[in-house]
Amino acid sequence: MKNKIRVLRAERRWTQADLAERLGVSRNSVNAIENGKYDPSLPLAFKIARLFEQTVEDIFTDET
Amino acid sequence: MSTSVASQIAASIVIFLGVALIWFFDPPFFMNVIFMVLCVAYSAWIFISVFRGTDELKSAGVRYALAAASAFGAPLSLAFVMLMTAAPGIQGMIANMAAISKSGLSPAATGFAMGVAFTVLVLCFVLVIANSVWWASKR
Repeated sequence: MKNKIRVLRAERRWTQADLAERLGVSRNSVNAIENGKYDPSLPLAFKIARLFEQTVEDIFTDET
Repeated sequence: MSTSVASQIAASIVIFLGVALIWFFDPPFFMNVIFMVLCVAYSAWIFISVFRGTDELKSAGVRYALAAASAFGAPLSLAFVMLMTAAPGIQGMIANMAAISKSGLSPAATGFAMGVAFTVLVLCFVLVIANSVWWASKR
């Protein structure tokens, strides 16, 4: 699954550690999600969407 | 390696040493009960930490490792124990260990205890490998 978290994070000039702290997860989690190595759970996806004030569909796109 | 897996390894080593302590020194009954309570408490804690962990990537890694330990570790440990029993000299070694044990266990009981201990070690080994593979795949 693709996502634009890296872009959204860069727009706000947050580091991965900043985002991880706001989401309450580890920096490794943010890194893995950004690189598409790990798909977050629905609660975390909604948390990310709320944080960036966008919908889940705007941030995450299905590759298939 | 995640904290959960590191603590699991540490606890497995403590359990292994605890079994050795009981086996060699035959402590009072209440010590055995305390040890069993600690083992059960540890199991409950590791279960809770996996499913209630704050970081879902770590939690997913541990779940993957536990699945691998169940799917591959359990049969592997059984095969390992069966190979150990077939290996020449093992039965003599178990009989010698039973002889030096202060708890007065029979060679059969000693062999059973060793089988259980090695099963735990093999499961722990598979758990660590699976968790390492998980983290490597997520980098």
